[in-house]
Amino acid sequence: MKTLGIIALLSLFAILSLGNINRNELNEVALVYAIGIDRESDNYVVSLQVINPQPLNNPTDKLPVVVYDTKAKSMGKAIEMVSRKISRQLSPAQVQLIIIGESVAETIGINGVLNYILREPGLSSMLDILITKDISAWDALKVIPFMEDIPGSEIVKTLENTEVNWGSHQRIFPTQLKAEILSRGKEAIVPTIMLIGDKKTAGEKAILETISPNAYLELSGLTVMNEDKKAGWLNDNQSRSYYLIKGSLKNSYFSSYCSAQKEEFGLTIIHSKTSIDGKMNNGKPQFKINVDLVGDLDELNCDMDLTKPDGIKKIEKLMEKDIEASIKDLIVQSQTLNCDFIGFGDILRIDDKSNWKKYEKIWQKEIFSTSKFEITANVTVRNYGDINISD
Amino acid sequence: MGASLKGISADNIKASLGNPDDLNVRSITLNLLMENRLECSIVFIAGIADEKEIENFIIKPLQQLSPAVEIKDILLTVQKEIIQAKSIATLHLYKDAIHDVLNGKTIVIIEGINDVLSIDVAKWKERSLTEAEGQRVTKGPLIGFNENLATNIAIMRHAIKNEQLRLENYTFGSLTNTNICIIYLEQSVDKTILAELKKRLTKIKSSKILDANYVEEYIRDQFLTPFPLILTTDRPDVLTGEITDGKIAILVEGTPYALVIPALFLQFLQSPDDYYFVNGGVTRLLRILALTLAIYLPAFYLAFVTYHPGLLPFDLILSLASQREGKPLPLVVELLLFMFLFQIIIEGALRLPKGLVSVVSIVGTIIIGQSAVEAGLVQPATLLVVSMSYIFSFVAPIMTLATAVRTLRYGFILIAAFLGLYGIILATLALVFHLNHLRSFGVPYFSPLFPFNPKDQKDTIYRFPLRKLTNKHQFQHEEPVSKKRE
Repeated sequence: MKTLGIIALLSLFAILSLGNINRNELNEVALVYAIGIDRESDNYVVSLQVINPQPLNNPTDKLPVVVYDTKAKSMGKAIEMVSRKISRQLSPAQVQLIIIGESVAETIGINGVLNYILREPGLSSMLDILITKDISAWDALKVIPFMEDIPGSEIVKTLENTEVNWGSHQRIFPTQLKAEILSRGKEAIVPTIMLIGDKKTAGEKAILETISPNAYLELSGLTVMNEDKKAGWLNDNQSRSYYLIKGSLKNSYFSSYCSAQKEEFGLTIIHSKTSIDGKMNNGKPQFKINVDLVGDLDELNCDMDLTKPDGIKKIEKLMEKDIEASIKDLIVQSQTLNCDFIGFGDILRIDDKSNWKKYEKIWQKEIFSTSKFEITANVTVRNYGDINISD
Repeated sequence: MGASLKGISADNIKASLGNPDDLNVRSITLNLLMENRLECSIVFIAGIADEKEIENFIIKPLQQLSPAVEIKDILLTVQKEIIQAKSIATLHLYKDAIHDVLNGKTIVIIEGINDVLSIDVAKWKERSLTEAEGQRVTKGPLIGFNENLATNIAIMRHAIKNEQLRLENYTFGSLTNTNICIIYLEQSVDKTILAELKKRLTKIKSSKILDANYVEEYIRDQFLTPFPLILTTDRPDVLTGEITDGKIAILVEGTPYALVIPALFLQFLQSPDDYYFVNGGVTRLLRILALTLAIYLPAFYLAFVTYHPGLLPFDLILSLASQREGKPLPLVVELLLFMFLFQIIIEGALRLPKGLVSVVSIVGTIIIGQSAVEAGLVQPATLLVVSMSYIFSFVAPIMTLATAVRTLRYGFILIAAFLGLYGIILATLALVFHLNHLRSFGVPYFSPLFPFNPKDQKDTIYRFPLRKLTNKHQFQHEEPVSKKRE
């Protein structure tokens, strides 16, 4: 009993005297939601989107976040320097989003940023990475959100929503991105965000009073990296073709012209599967790409008789042609940029290992652009609706 | 001259007991052969002896005594032929006579004869049998024990009609002379445990036995632990279940609560309801989960919020952060303060006269629940965690375990405040070590889980269908039963 009492007393004393209890109280830390990193004349500009919690019972006019920025030679130093502007200790544990400015990707490369994220123990490994297009990361963090309270959260949730429903962007985590950068057989791809409208109005609270906002952030395309530097940009359609060819498209909507490039019909894709086989043929790589798609017919704006199997076949054929064309377009883009972001090198490494060893080092520089491709798409319309308005 | 050597006479008894008002001495003259007359006194204490029985079965027959009896045979005749009471004994020691008078018996003293008759007409005032209070069930037997030992024994006799049932009576308490009764089944009882129990019973040195706990504290294994090492229950059906499982029950006079030894940790998680519903096994799983949460919830709340906010979902931490704005007390102080307040509310509701209990609940809910939040003293999440933890602890089927759970919780909160999740893991390890260290009458407290006994798993954390259960339990002794006592 005596020992127990002494232990209880000692721990109580320790708790009360060491000041431990105050160290991490939630009202004494500033939770960082998003970090933006830009490059400006050999310096990193780090902007932090810090949560400014509203007291529960008396809501104020305060905005839910504050964005701080500092300039320094290194990112860690810049973040620590923010302390001069903020009354609370920064807590990076809840960072959900890192926006890398275009300026970083174009000049010094994103390797430094990635290494920092992966090294810093306070940061979670499950955070989203985005690259900006035409704006700085600092501007992107200052855009007022419409649906969510926190601007960063609006971006993260938009990304998740796009991934599930439209398929043009998928989340990428730091470890995955780092692996892609290090890989010889595949170049990295990063989802990209841009600002529609004026950046000054986007950051003002007055915009919340408009019902149809004229300045907002939008996910647009993917940034293609060569090693860790920006090599190019894929538009929205190419982005979807990219995920289609990677076989990770979850759910999307494809449309195609019926005939004469006038009216469209559309399919909701519910299932897709891609297989790529590659081998070296006389020093030239050859790839067979086979895409299987299953979709439901959603919309048909042209005259077509769907009561007969021929009509369905026709739709499937038209769609196949379109998808083949869009994949072709993506590969052409890849070869023009001379950047194997689809990962054909990886396929060769798996399918034709002996040859890959020989060409590994010069793959990107010399071999990739000479590759030949054979693309076949297989579209199955599973469901074409109960009604048939053919006349 | 010692008391035991005193002659038994009405005057002596009167003097010994201090001439109390309730001591009745009735004198009768017996008419014998040849005009012989013998004075006869009937001594009893009013209130604890049944006066109607005395009148009808003792006084009336004595007065109508036929004259054909010799003086030397008088005692035997009276005992065998005249008195009509159900139980009668001959005494010749004065202290036995005093003892019997105090136990509600009637003493018949016949002039000139040393031996006296002690007639059992005791009738104690007792509370009628009502629903068991300590352990209520939704469906199943309702009856609970009362304070009368004889009645409780009768209930047990009624529940187990078996010639193997053994009852052994003891009297303890040098002042109160309280009777206790050990009940077991001869065929299934563990003989070493029975012998150990008898040995420990001799160590009871108390002058009074007011409740089963007086016995419990003398016979329990000497461990420093919040956990109950002996099961207490006021339900005859629970006692029946335990006795038929080979355990030993101890009924104590003056309390409805009986003791069961040996007690295992898992028994405290088993409610009678588990056996009275077809799917009773599932509720037991939920109960175990709730009790675990009762200990861990406040500690996890504290550890996550103050040490590991990065591990919580962001929306949750955002809501907690906005609740935290402008709160003056550190979270651990807030948590401990409201834990304490809740404990006091419960204590108050228990102690106050029944009419005032509603006042406590109003004060508790409105003042503490609402005003404290509005005054910005406490964040709603803390209140939620504290009340959830208390509600979870209420599901403990045996209240002695609920007390242990509530005590442990403070330890977990303190260590979580000091060391975070790491501290919780340390405390969990310590708790598991402690539970494995405990013994109840030499039986490992955590058995049959640790040490694992594969044959005895059908009624542990999940109750298997009744037809698969057996009454055979192996109590594993790894060490001498009484090692810890010396």
